[in-house]
Amino acid sequence: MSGQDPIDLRVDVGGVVLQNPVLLASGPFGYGGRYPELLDLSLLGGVILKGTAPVAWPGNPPPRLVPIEGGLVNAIGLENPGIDAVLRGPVPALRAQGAKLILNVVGHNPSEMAEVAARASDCPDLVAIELNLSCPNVPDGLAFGTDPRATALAVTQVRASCRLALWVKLPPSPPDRVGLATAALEAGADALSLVNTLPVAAKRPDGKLLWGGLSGAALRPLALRAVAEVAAAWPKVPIIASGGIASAEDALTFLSAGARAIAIGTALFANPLAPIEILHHMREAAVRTSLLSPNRGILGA
Amino acid sequence: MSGALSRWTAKLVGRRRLAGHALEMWFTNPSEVAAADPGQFVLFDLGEGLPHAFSPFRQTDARFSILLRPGSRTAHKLAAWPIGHDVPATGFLGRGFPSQFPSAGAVHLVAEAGRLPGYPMLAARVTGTGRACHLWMAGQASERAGADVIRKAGAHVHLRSARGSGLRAALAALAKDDVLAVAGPADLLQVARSAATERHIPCFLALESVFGCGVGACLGCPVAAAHPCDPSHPYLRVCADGPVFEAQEVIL
Repeated sequence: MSGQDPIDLRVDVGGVVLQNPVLLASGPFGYGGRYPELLDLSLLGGVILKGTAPVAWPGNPPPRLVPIEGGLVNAIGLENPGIDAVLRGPVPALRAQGAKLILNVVGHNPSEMAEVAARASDCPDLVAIELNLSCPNVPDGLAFGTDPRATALAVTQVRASCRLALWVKLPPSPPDRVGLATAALEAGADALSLVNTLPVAAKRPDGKLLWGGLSGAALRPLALRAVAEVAAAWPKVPIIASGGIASAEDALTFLSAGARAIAIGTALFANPLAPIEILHHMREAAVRTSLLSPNRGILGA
Repeated sequence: MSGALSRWTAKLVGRRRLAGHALEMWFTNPSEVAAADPGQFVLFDLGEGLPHAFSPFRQTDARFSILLRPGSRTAHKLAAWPIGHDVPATGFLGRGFPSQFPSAGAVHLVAEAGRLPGYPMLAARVTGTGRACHLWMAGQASERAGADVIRKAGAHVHLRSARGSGLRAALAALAKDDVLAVAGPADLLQVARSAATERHIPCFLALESVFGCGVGACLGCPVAAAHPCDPSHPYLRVCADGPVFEAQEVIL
């Protein structure tokens, strides 16, 4: 691990030191499934677990996925078994695999989010919370993540109950992106995750429309713009970039644009080993280039 | 479920035209990868963002085949691959047909619209135990490819042309203790499920879905559970809990 590693890729993301900047994004990895049989989680910077609510949510009826040119539209609807079941099952199991775990937190209102954050804060296996203020697949899912006042309210309430590092995940295209980021940071966010999926519609096999969130390569330019804008306004704030990152070149582009870490989501589907391959190429690039330290908090200070 | 999950590079090593312009394509798999159960699937990364799931049609030592129906964009793409082409593969995945059926009668395989998930392997397994196996296959000529292979595996083959006629004939032929296995479009599976429920026939359905992860993680391929353990958890995952389900397990 990083102790013996001649190339130090450690990063500090809102007070959490990760051994490298490559994470798994919330959603595609779910709570693991059979991925740990393919993927050595202990090699990664961290794993952001699926959105978790105070109680079980059933999610949306099928169909939930529509592949489109250059991306994927999903409407999973945040199916999850609730915080108690997650803390009992997947969290200790994945921690035993050596994963550094971050829990994505969802709720219908700030009180529910704060309740999950409080429960998660008691779990020694978690290092941070990623507050999901921007899911397009549930009613009112975007409300908190588009209005700076609503964002501030939610972050303030969660911050008060959260004793872990608090990362806040924002939507890709709010009316005032920097204003929203500022609201989250001033309310107590330690880091920002940019971006969630983009609300779109796609034609289902039965001809009806699926209203869902766009991910994959088609989202990448928007995510890059979001990261660059927020990084320019808040250069010292750690940003976890996600949105169509599928290669080491993508990852380095986002790091160059100001991200502190990158999260792999949809790319995992086609290539479950993508995060490891990206990390490998990132190490090679680190030797060749000035990106020896993507970390401005530890090595680059 | 078979053994540990693997990702490997599958090499195209053979290709054969079947009746109706269908194509059987043979690929390598590492010998350490456990054999596929009939009805399981392999994911190919075709460089299109999402992986494509294929059910192995036949398997020998360290080789397996898939059956491509003519006409689809994917079939067109794969048909153009030269021998020796490499494709990243993950598998074998999901739950296939059971290794032992719950009753002792004949096993009736119903196939429509060219769906034959591991049927040659299943037919060989069934007939290898001394049980009778029938294939009831319906569709246009191009959708009836593969029948000869299943016949060689020991099944009695019955071909029909009209939609739904294979299932109807199979239901008419069922004797006490016989078992039904059905693969085809969603409406055919619904009819099969209703008939099986009404008549208390042991029936297994091979479902299809768009897969995201294919390993039970992303929850992108739900099917309603007939008897959920928890009312707040009403879905099963086609990729991990199936794709083969007992008819009584799911609501279509």
